Amino acid sequence: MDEILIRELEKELMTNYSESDAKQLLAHVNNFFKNQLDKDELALIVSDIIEMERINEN
Amino acid sequence: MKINLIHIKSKNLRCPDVEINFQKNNKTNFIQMPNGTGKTTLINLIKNTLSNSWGNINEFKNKKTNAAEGLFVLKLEVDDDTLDDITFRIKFDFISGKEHIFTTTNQTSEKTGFHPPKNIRSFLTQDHIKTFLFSGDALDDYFIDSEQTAKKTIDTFSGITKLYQLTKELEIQFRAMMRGKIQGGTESLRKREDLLERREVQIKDGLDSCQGKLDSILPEWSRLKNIIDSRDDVTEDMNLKIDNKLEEIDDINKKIYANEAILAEMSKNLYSISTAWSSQSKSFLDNLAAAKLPGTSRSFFNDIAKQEKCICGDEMTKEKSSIIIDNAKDYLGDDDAGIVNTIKTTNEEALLSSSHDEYLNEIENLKTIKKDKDTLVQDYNDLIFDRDQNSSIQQEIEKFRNLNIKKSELEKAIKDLRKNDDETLAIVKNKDPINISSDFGIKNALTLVRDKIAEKEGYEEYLKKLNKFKEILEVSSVNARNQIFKEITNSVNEKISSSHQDKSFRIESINDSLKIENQGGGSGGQEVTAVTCFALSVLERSGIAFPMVIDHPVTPLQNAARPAISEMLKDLCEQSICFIIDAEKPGFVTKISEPNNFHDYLNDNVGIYTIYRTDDDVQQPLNPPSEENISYKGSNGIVTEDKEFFTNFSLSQEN
Repeated sequence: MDEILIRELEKELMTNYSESDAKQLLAHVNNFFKNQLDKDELALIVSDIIEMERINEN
Repeated sequence: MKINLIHIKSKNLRCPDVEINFQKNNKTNFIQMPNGTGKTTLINLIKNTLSNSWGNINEFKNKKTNAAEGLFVLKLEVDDDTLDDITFRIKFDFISGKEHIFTTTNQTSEKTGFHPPKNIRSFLTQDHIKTFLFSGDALDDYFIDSEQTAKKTIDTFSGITKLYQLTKELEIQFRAMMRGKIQGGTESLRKREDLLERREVQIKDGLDSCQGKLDSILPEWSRLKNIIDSRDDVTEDMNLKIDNKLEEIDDINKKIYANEAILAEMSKNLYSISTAWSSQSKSFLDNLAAAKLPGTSRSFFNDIAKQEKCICGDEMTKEKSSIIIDNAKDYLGDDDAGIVNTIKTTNEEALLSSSHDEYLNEIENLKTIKKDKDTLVQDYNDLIFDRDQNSSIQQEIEKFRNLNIKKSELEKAIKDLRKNDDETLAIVKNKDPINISSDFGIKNALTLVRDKIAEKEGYEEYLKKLNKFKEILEVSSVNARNQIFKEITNSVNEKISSSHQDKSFRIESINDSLKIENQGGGSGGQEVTAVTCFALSVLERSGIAFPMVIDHPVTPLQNAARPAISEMLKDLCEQSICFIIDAEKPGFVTKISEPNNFHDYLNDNVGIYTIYRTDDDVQQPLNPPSEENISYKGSNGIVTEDKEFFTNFSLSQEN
């Protein structure tokens, strides 16, 4: 993943989620880039997304 | 990380049998192949092997020999701190139409399948490969906005394409996880909730009204009750009689409950209730006994075989008896008989323990007791009448009775409005709100509809959250792409400036396509330069130096524009492999003014290869290379690294 893309992604996630949630989501994205994820691993990402509260609704 | 193509080999395929070992120090390589030799086949073999993408393999079949099998081998050297060699061997089975790929690394023995090392695996896709393996005479797409080739290339290498793939996979997973949840609007459910809430208000109003009426009569009722309870115009004897009567009624009620319990227990045996049932069952059991059934059918036939006369009336001969015994083996087993016996035994026991007369007696007893109770109640009412008829508080008593009836009615109404035991969740689920009569029923119905709304709104809330995450990926991608466009534009211009003599030639911008400054489009040379520099910049950014494999690098270019391209490839590429035809040599490989001499900058570290067919029906070079200058001689092709032969090579059939 290009460094600029990582930076932009991190910035957007940090704006919209708490720091720990943003880091968790970034870790999921990195994992997706590095590994072929199975259904359970994708389900874990979806679960995290729907459980996390956004801090910026706009 | 640097990747070099170090070996290719083909056998029994549409291109000639070839084997080339690329020297590591040769940064620039020229492979000269006449048109019609199978150049495109060879390039496609490289392309498809690197991405492991195979369509119809018949395009690689040698139509002349119709060989059933073919082979292609490609070897890469990956320099990433440590040196790794990876070999892909593809065996073509043209009979089954299938290819079989095998992978070997210097750390693992040959394994079936496509197993590139993890560090380069993500780059070996069709989209990645077309960036460093392209045709110089088909670059138009890079300069047409609608094709979005530049954008697609940057998306592929930056990871933006992979982010979109993540979005799609998450959507699919989300739908799978939400399967069965409610989708769509909540309007109809909200409408029902509204109707139920209105009904709830009506019931509450009803309750309040009843409670209000009850509250309004209770003080008077209490006052009257106190007066009656504290009355002193009743004799002790009368009170005793009334108390005794109440006790008798209480006792007789107990008798009624006991009798009802006995009848309930007796009702479990249906033969006690109905003589018709018991006589039918008895008759059935008698028939079974007479027929010696169930027993087993086998024993039934065995018994018949022992009789003097057959069941049909004929004499039972030994022969007949023997046949019946033999055939009896095919009939009922013990298990079947066991089931029938269980039914039989259960029914026999039920019949034995049943007593219709006792049942009738208990019914009669109950009737008698109830009659006795009615008498007692009447006696009690008479006593009350006697007690009250001459009382000084007769009016109060009458008023109290009326109020008490009213109070009971109101209490019952309140009880019914609060709870109707029949209005369970299952009953009120689809019931019209107006027909629900209790607060209990309304609350059940509201619970159901609110659960559904919550479920539906939960789905929508989840979807909103997923969409927000997708939007974050999208915004990040757009922002990143715009910045990468600028950085790649700068990188391309740096490369052009360091390798191109025309200092006015620059890339104005990169977005969907490459835009050459001050021009609607570039010249052929500029386009090749721009695309090559673009590909190199993108690869450089990805941290991987792939070999640039270019087919027809300078076909559309005038000779004068060609040296800049070969010089640029020499200066900028870690490894370049150019597939050319004879006509591309002037200016590109050899000096324009001295066609027999290479450019000075191509005198060292350059790989020179000429491949031509040796089939009988193909024109052969007038001066073939000497045996010692032949690098590889296959059944239908020659590979030579002879520089002089390369320079002079020309076949009249070329165009």
